[in-house]
Amino acid sequence: MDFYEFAKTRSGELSFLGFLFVASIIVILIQPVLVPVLLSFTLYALLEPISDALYRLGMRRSYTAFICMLVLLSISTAIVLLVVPELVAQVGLIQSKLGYLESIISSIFDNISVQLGAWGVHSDLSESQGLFQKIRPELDLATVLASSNIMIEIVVTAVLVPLFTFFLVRDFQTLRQTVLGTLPNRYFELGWLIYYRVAYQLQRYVRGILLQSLLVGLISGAGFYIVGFETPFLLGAIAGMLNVIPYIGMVLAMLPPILISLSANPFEPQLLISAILVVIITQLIDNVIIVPTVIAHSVSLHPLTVIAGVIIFGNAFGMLGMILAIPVLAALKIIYVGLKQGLKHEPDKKFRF
Amino acid sequence: MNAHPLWHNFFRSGTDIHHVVADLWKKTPLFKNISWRRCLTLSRMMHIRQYKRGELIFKDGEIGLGVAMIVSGNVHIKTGGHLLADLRTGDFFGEIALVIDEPRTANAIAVEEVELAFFLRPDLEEFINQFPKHGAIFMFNLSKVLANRLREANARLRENKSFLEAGNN
Repeated sequence: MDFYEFAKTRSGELSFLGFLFVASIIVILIQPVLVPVLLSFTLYALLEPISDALYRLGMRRSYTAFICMLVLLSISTAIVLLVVPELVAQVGLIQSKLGYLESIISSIFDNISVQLGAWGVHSDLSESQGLFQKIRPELDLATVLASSNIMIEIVVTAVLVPLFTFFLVRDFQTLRQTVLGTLPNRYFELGWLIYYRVAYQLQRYVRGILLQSLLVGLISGAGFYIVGFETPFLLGAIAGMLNVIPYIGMVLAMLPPILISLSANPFEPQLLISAILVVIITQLIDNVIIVPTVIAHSVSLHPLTVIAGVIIFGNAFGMLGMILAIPVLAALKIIYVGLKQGLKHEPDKKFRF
Repeated sequence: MNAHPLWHNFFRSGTDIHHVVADLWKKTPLFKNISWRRCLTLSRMMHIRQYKRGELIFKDGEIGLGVAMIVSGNVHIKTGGHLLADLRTGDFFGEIALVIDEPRTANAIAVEEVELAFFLRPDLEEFINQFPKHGAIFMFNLSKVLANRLREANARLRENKSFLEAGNN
């Protein structure tokens, strides 16, 4: 009986349930370090080509890992010194406009209420105005930092991520050999086949999605700068991050520039229109040029899966969950397809090796 | 007297399994003109597996991922109950899987306790990326091995054909 036949039997089903149960327990147990682990694997996917190139020159894995860490440290220091102060300044600029933005939104709601009243439609928009007051503390950086343990999480992540990444770069291949070495003889080749297919696709996807976000962030940031926004850097960063969410990302990326253009005193309609145009043009460039070249075999998810995933992850983990929902779902799909093809002994014609 | 494991081979490198595997691979036509040092690098990327007597190594129709070399023991290659090859230490089999993503064409069975060193297609790809010059030599050697197997199969086919024709006449 091969593995696929076994998977269809009652004991196969029970084994799968057992596997899911054990995997869930592991996820619950490592939950406190889940974010550092995911970040470390992402960094490993990015640093592996550097490590391999150095290894090819005859360097030991320990030294290649050390050099990768130096590269990582240099880039992180540059980001902290050059990018973070600018981002904090731009966040401060937006916060200073929050009061004015609130009054603008209130007046818009008032106008709508009056207009609806004139048409004989009764509406109570005061609740919607209250919503803004409710979320306002969450938009204040100082309040957020003071009220939550976010600083502790940042420090823990900053310590754990370089540590995990170092050991991944140095020891991942040995670890992989040890783990897959425990497979029974009958499934040894199949196990490696599935591993290689999944790892190859995942690595390509992670690299592709990060490069895509970076390019979209840079293009939209440049666009916001050209049309005259005061905070192009921050808006570009937000657009880059939200771009990983298909369909909804574009709409969400439009919100911050629209709100900022509404808060301009006096109101400039051309700024509002140009903000929308920048997002649309960036999306066009992304769909026509970036996606076909950067993510050649992009993982296509059904629009309903995307929307449901974003809502569920957003509900469970907030804004970070919304951004991570699609990469996580895409990764799960890659693993599922790899397992299905491997277990059915299907050759993957698109696959490189 | 057996040395205490802690001090055993402490001051000398000794003979670890990868050295044995590198020695055996070096003697095969696949590694002709490739230095022993590179063989050792490659053997560290390989997968050592132990099989019991009578255990199926791979089955006809199963997906294959690489070539296997016998480190110790005896392996039979069979198809439809027909013995195709009786392989011993230093012999290798399944090299077609290094080139194409197609199912295995015969069964491989361990006749006695067997130790195998598997060299898989993704490992070969990694080797070619890391050492392109040696990778090219390996691919040239592999194509020679496959061409020889094709020539032998053609000769056998010709023999069978002439045998059938003689029978008909």
